[in-house]
Amino acid sequence: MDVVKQRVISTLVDLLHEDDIEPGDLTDDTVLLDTGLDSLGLAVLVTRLETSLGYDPFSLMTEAVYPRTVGEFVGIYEKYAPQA
Amino acid sequence: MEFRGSFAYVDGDTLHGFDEIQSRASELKATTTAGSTLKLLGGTTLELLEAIVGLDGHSGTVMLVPHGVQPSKLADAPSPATRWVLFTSGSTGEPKPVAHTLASLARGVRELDGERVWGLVYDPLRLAGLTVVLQALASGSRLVEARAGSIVDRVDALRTGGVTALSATPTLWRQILQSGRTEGWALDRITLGGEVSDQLLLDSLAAAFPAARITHVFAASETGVAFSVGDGREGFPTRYLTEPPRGIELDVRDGVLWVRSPESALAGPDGFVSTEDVIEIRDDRALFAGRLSGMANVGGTKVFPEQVERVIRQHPAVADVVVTAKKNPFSGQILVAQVEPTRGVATDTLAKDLRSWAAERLSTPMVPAQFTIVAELPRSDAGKATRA
Repeated sequence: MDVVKQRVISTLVDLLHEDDIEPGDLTDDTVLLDTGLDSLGLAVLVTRLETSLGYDPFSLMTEAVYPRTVGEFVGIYEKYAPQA
Repeated sequence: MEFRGSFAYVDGDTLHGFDEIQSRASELKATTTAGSTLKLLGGTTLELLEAIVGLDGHSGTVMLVPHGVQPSKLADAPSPATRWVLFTSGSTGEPKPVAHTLASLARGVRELDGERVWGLVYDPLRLAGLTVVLQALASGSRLVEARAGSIVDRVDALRTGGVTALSATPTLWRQILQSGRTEGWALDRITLGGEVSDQLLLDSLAAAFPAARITHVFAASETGVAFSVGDGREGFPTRYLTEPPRGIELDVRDGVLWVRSPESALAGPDGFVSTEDVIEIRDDRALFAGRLSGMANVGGTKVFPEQVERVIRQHPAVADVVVTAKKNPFSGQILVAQVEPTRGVATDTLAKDLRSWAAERLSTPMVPAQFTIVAELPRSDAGKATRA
């Protein structure tokens, strides 16, 4: 698993743990809102990832995209990762 | 140096206007330090016998005030074409120039009995600092300056100078309580202003300084209007809305506090000016929810960072906290917190602990998404926590 994907998944898992939710098996097809994230959970996740990864892909987009699954969400972070 | 604003000085009962100051500018400048800082004549501990001269890039005050000038005289002095311009601290944006009269400048000055030594921790070119300077002048007291350095150095300087009366922001008072240097300090007068004072801080100050009279001041620096509360409780009594404190008429409109200040340039036809402070009435008390300009919208819910700060500050491991709103693609805005921990506490799980602490006590939109533990919070020269 590449670094970005790993970071996104582990941040998500940490967040669920904080809310006392046991994350099930997270696959690319898992629907984000089925993980147990509440309505503000995504907002929290994006805020933390901006700190740890150093960018917020959603603010870099020219058109709004709303990811439905974990795979789509990770894909957005991978797409906008700063090129080394 | 470029002059911005206008200057005046008082010499006895005579007021000298801007033109005269300008013609003497080079002479006066000789008594200021290079750059933009104010030099208090006489060094750090100042016997206020003759002059305060200050010119910085933003605002200027030139005052030549003989020892023992009474506040009533200052307030009564005619104010011809002379304008006093002080700048606001700019904690919520660019510093704004505010025109004052001598009467409005002297309004915060009280006639007090007894010997006191005043501490100056504010910029004397801003209203809060100038009020302290005028207060010391009015009562012929000594003034001890402690504006720079570490908090420990500043407290030590104040104590060495024998300071018994001190006016500071809640942010600075929290630092003073944290400094570990307050044991046995016989303060007899404590004033809080410039930010909202919460009950926890008022109680902590009362416990640390049992002999002190503690008042918190509500001031709208845009208007020069100020009133104070000295009953040890946060907020102010709702009866102030019908019985104007010191004649200052207050009104709550759409949840925002307005004060009557007809001479203010911002006043509407009825003479009232908005303070931009949002008020929440609880029983017989009017409490501050936050600044109108600082209100955030998190997923459609309006939240005030100040309310969240008040809850987080109650955690024993928190010395102080600043909560700010951040743009967010999913919720419009979201809150984040910067926390300065109490000295010596373990911080490895603090961020996590604080989030669950907040989640137990606040509605979901008010819970900060992230807690960052910092060694020291950002603070402005005016001693306020900065939200930038």
